[in-house]
Amino acid sequence: MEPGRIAVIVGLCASILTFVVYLRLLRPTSSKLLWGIARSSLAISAASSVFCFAWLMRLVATKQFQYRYVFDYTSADLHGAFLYSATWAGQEGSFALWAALTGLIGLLVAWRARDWEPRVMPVYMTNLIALFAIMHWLSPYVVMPPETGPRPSDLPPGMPWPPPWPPQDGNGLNPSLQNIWMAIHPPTIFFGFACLAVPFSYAIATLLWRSYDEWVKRVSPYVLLTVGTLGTGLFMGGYWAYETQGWHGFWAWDPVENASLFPWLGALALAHGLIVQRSRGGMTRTNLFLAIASWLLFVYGTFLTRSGALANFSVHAFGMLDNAALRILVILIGVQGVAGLGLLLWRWRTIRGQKMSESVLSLDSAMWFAMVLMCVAAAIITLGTSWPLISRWPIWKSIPALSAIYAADGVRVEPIFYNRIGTALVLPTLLLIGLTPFLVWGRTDSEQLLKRIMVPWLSAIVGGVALLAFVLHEAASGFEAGTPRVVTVAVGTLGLFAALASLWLAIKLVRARPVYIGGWLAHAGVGLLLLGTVITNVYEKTASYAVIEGRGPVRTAFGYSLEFLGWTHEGKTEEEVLKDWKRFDHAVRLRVTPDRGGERKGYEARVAVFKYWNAGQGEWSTMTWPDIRKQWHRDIYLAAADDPRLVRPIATLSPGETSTIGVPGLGPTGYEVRYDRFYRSSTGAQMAGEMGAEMTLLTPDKREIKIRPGLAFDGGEPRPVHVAIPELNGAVILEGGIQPETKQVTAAFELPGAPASWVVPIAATNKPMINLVWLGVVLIGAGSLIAMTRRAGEMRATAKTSA
Amino acid sequence: MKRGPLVAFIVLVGAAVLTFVSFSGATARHVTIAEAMRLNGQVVQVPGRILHDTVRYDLQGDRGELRFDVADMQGGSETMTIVYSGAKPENFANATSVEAIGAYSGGVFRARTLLVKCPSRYQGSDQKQASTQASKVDSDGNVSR
Repeated sequence: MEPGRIAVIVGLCASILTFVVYLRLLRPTSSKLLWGIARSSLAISAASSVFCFAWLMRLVATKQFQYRYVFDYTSADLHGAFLYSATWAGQEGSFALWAALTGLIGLLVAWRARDWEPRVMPVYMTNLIALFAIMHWLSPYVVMPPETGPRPSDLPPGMPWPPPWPPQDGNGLNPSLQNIWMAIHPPTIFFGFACLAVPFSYAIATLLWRSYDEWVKRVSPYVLLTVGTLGTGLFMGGYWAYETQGWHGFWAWDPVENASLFPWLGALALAHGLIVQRSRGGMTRTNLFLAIASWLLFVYGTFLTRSGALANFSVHAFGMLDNAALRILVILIGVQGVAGLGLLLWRWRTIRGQKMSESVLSLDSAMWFAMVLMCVAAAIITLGTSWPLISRWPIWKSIPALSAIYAADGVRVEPIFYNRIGTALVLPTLLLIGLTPFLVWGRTDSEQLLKRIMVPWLSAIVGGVALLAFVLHEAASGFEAGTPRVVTVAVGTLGLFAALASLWLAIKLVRARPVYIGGWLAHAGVGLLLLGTVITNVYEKTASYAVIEGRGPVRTAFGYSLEFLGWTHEGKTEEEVLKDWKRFDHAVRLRVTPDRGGERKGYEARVAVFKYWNAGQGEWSTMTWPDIRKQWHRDIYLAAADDPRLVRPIATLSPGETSTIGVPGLGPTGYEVRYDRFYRSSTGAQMAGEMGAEMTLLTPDKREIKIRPGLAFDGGEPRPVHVAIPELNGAVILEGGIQPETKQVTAAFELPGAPASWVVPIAATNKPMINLVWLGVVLIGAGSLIAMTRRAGEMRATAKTSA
Repeated sequence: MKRGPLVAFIVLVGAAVLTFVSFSGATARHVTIAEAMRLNGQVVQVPGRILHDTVRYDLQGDRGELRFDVADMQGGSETMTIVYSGAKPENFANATSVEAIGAYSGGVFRARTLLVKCPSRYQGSDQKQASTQASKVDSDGNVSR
């Protein structure tokens, strides 16, 4: 039997055994044997999960094309890191990745849980059981039987059919996935989500054993790890989109993106709630709720994006889960949801926390308010993402006041909804972040606060004035921003305030207690991220230009000009040129010259344009990748707006006229053509024949050559006929048919000394201050990880003192 | 003093009001071509089969303009011209249908978002559900897949 399939079954059995034995260990026992069984079966199940993943990776990396999964996601020419990252390119592989990380983190949890081990592990194991079950029904280890192997549409035309067995090549990894960010984005995201299972497990154990404060220290590191990795992972996905998709933005409020965002917001709120509980003893119920809810939101998001329920409302490729696998996911949500929320309700009255300070000007209130903002954001985004499903409920029809909501096919919520919500929530969020460094638990002396807040606040105002000047300058130069100016300036100023205030505290702390700066760094990152987002999104400008071979530089509106230099691969036989078009590094070379600074500061941009075999569609598709030039204050982002095309010299004329032949926009070639008369001839059958123009071509050296370009018809659509001009080693073809009344035609020529020219439609985008976004993301990630190190250190310290 | 319920009430009402206010005009009803033309000026989502002979990409103007006709997906006889300003969506040449979000006005459908749908390998095969691969461009020039 297939080793991968065996490992899945072994893992499933071992996980169930682990679950059962840990439950048995809850009763006081000194049986060394039972402990041995629990831990070895846990080790076996973790090892199986890792083996399943490693085995799949081996199949992928060694190109075992007889496996359906390998055939679908790799090809013979795939190499380097992408040979490994192709392991998680598909639905099945991503479950294998999730399972392996869950298995590994399970070992860590069991090791760190000490006396809580039998309380936490059964809950945690339910995830691993579900994942193994999904991998059993949605197996990545399916070997194709030769008769149902590759379908004809899987292979490009010209390949021998039937292909050799086992197949020598696969469908290949979608070129857009062959990007370093896309290679590391899924492991990062799944690592974050696997960590999110830990607070959920602890929350359930806490509720069962009613020890409401002990879990705080234990779960804090995991929660911060989730916040850091998931947050960074989300933006890796965004950066990938920015870099490979000719997608000028990094966030589109698409269901797939939202499905990771709302659990992240939940985890973020939990991270803050745990700080409150640890310092003030409050928020006990809230934290338990958040730990349960954010995990459930994640499983729900997985269900949304993988069930295909939203396929008509998203831009992403949606894999459809096999029904059995989908059912397991639904059961998982049901069991964990009922158990978690039910337990919480049952214990609700027994949970007691300390009363929080009621002073508005206190860290207590700030934390409370911040968590309300995060929860509201998470709830509204969840609602918006689910709207295509909710609006399909028939119940709306029966309530007269709400019947307008109902739509049989579902209704999508547009990005503008999230942008409005975002704007409303971002302003108070930034104000809070800016104030937090100056607040203390209990009650803050308002005079002290005013004194200390002065410097960052005034600096932010100065920055805000500079931003206002920029906004007015843009408006004066005729750029109509869609966002009201007051919103732009307000978000920018408050973002700067948040960043400066947090950095101020981080700098004060860094010498005394470097490990304490994590949270403040992350806060500074949020401020910079939002400042950058508002500038870059509001003041991004795109303009399209036709860059034409041989025509010289085209001036853009952004202070530089573009000139066609050629292709990266050129000047070879037609066969080789065709091959080159299929290489990812096949690109248009453009000379970018700034208006100021001239040649010296210019550079050569390479806008990739290439063909790849799209097996899903059974066609060659064109793919383009942008060229991004990073400057400190902006990105110069050049992408192909449409397929480049070869434009031949043409002449448009009616019978009796004489016209010069030229490339539009480039001027005459020296050749002329005279349209002598229209002709139409039938051959035998009535409906078949040819019609066209009898013409005389006048060469620069005054020769006259008779030509007869025309259209052939045989009942259907007339087809232009490619007519050779042997005297000149050239050719002529009619473009766009013949005008029925005037018999006007457009003839395109291939002539010596008058070559065809490439026309490349380029969309040039100016992205001001986008680097602030990436800087903010780096600070958020780094800050969360520093905070995690601190909490992990504290957890170890407590363990030592209690031992 | 029991402030809890009062505060929870205020938060809930605030969130509900915020959602409600943001919601207006942010949803696009799924309609057929005929309905979209009738609902002149209203933002709707229309599926349509791309008539590839009619596709024009024009570089005139600042952002480039894509113009094409679509036919009814259910086999109705209506066709409609869609105008979209921005770069041509990446998969457009191979796409069979689009989901256009925008409003009909002045004889054409001005799309602010195009969800481009490509035929999947599973179509017509024994798999029950066809997966779709899509790329999207919205009017800010964002393209994603």
